[in-house]
Amino acid sequence: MCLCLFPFFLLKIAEDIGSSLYPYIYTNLNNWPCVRLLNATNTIGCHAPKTGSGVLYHVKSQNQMDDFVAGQFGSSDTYGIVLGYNLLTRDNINALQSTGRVNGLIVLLREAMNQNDFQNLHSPEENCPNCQFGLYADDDDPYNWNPQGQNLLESEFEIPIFGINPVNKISTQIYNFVMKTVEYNEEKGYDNYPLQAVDFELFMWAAMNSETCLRRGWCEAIGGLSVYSTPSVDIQADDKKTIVMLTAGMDSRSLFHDLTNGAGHDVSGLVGILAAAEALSRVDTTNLPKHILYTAFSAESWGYAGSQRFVQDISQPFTCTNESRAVTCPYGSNAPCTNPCVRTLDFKRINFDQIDSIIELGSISMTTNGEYWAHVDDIKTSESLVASLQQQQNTINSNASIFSIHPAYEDNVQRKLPPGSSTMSFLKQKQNIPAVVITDFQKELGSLYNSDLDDTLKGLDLSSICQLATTTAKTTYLQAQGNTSVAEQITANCTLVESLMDCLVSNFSCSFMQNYFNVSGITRISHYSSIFSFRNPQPQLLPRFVFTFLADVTSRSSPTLSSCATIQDCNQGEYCIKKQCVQTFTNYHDAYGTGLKYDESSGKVLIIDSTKSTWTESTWNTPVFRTFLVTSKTQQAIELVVGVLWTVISIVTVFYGKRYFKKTFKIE
Amino acid sequence: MAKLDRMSPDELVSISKKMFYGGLAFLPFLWLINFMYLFRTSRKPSAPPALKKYVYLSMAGCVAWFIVMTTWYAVYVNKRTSWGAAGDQITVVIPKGV
Repeated sequence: MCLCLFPFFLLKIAEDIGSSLYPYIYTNLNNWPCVRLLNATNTIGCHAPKTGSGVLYHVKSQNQMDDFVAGQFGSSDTYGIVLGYNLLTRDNINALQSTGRVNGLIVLLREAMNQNDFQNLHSPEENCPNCQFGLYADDDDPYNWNPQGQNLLESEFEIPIFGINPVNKISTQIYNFVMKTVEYNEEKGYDNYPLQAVDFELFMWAAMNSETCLRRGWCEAIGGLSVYSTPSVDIQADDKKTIVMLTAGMDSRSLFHDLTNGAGHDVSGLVGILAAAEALSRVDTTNLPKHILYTAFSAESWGYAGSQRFVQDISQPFTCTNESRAVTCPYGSNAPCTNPCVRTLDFKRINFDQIDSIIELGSISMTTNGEYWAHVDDIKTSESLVASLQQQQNTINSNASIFSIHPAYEDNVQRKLPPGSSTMSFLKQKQNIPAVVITDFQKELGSLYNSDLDDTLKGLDLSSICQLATTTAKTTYLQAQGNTSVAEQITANCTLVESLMDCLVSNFSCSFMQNYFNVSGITRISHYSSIFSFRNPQPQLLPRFVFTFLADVTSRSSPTLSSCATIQDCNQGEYCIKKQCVQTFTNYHDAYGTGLKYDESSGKVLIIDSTKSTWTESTWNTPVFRTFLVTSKTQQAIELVVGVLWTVISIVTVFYGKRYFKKTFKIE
Repeated sequence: MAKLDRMSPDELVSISKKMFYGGLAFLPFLWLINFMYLFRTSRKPSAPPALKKYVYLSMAGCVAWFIVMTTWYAVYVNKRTSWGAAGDQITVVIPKGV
């Protein structure tokens, strides 16, 4: 009996040795990968089942890159290339992929790059991002907003690409470790084996397109929660008052979704409207002839998902069927309707036909000489709005800095609205709404558009943002007033602008944030909208903050004026903001592609319109990124040959030995 | 194999016949065994013609199965993903990532 247990005993020892030796051989590292996303027709991003090993090699310049591609470096080995974001160009990636000697890329972001690497940057976006979902999809000759674009974000890569940005403790540790191993290889001259190598595992479950992966349950719809708010707490759809809208996008996009920041595009625009809302909260806006509506849309980078869904929901009639559902409605028994499941019916109180004008703030942080550009779709429709903005800009005579708003068409080229404008979703429904989109660029999107390097506050023009917020607030007020010449003293709070930018870009646990949330230990947050959960939709940190902030500035005190610790302490329909119970018209609204539909009776997400946004994100196995020592290919080949020879010789020896012994000693 | 020499022609035909009809139940390997087991004996001049018939029919059936299976395999492996939902319904374990 002991003998038959022996193999199991051996197996157990082997397993133990295997798992206990693992940490002595491999060092697993935290990682921030590029992942696979899908739309109606294809997949983008990175997918790689286990790769082979590649010796770590740091490419520091374009010359070095060219040498490597030409084969002038390295033996017949495979390499894992470490490179700065400035070298991550379309040509370089194609060249590296075609050499067949690269098993993956490790990209160093802002805090790991050299100063002189920032000179020749290009936006990773396409020439006209999201244009097939925008207002000008059917135009014959659309304007090329991003001629320098590398077109990386909508590409599919064969090799895994991981990013590193040493901005906090963990990422700095990983970065230092990677640099140490790279230097180890450099010192050994890349031919004195054993060298440090790396291998990757980035296995994505979904494939082909959104419809396939949704059917198989291997991907989730990309989306988030938009926020809309108005100081007119008693707004109704039929109160015959028109609406002035102030809007911005809330999310950003880049190659590495965990590290997406988007300080310029689109955090600055969001901060602009939050500051304008705060400025307007200090005057009475509830008795004006028009309503003011603040909106911040999520998932705008994904085919204008947030704004399109909002427009769709407020302009179509809402029918509550209360049919049976596959999964219980996540909003509980208090939900106003269980099929379709909605958290609130307040969006029905916003009448799309009453929208009178729209002002949108896009990327507004990188001005040259404090110049802003007002983009319009149709000059005739919107020029009065532009004129009003310019008029209000003139009233700000600041000696400290220059600040001006110009019509983007002042050089007589009508480029129409730039990509990324949520306004397009509204104009698609009704094109004669006067609307202006203000940005810091006139002709081109800029080299940091949707780039992983758009994450710094250095060189940003915060005082101009403040002045723009003031101008926008004043213009909005005058629009809502019906343009009588009464000018109130409305100014945005410039310290607020600085705090907001700091909190939302670099440190979410800043002291300003402690007014709203008890948060600590979170510095950078990702501004990627992430996936939309139909079973348990929870707002991410940014929409949660925007909701709380807007609820605060548009609130009126509860008649009972009670202080509170949580929302449970307040009456039904009230919120606990800054420890006070308040009444406010501020809500979340679902944001996910309008080409997708959630079928409540089956609990599945279906594609209903492939011409609209159908973005989904694949489910994946935990990505692995580990380093270990390897010997040269020659040595491995020699080991193999020696082993085979040894085996053959042993077999032959045993065979002839047995025959010899049988003959000599007459043993069977 | 020695036992085969001592069997009567009727017994041999009976065995081959049983294996042939058995193989009709989607058992091509039974046909192959039929062929391999009795081919030598069926080539002897003393073998009954019925034996030859069953042995050769079994082989033909086995080859036909092989062709059908290989063709189906080739078509399925290459076209499964383009068949959409129908392809998934006839698959037991759907591979991830492709």
